[in-house]
Amino acid sequence: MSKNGMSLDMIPVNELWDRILFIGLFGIIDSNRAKQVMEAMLDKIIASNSKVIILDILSVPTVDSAVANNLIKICKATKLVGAETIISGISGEIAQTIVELGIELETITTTSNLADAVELAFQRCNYELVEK
Amino acid sequence: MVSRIGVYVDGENLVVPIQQELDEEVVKQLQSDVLERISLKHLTGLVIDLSGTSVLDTFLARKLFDTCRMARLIGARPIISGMSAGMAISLIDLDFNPGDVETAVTLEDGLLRLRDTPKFDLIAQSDDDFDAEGDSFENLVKGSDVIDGDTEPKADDPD
Repeated sequence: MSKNGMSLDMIPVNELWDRILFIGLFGIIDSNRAKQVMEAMLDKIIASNSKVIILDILSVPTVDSAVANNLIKICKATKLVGAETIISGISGEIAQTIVELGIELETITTTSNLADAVELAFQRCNYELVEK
Repeated sequence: MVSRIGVYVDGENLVVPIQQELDEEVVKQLQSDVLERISLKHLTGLVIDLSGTSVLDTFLARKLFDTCRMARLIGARPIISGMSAGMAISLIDLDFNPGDVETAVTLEDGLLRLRDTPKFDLIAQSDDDFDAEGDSFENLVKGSDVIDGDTEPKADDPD
């Protein structure tokens, strides 16, 4: 396997909490990359019996219709295996592009920052954060 | 001869573990079996577990998901569980849309979720409850009167 292939294959899926996973995406999300992310995600969801997966796209520079479609596909696949995707890190600019391009994100849950996504994920798993 | 898939009643729920290759005939038979059993026994939940199968094309997947929507129409909360990663990826590649059907990772998970479904409780709807509601409604009205009374003089004061 080439060096290039090796680095692309590495998609770290972190266990953020019990039954909550986290992936930070970066760079351009083409269909190849999207497929790798999808495979890594789905395997991990099934292995860890997770309920929610947070997909952070803060470091994805541009979201065009191709990238958005890949994200939608990822969310649908996650739904099929029985979990839910929360997409975090959607900046104002990206929100603008998504709406201007007429992309329907349908029922996908999105948040602007990671903190909101984590809070939402805790809610979905019926966890409650209590200040000591 | 059409081989049938067993459907099992577990309390209020119908459990359908699919552990064989599906074809159109089998799914058709399954659909009518499931709907018949749900309406006969007044079941409130349905879990279709796919962990025993490895291949599912879009047509059959749509049939199964449609069965879930039909089950909802006759009063059962449907959940599809145990889909493998490979199956999900190939279905998404073929533009399959899961729509509004609930999904779970494992059968156990699906059944757990059904257990949390709020059920109608006839005992809770007693006369006392209606009285309590009436009281709180009166309080609410009284409360709003007081607020109105408070705000009016204040509005007059600056004048």
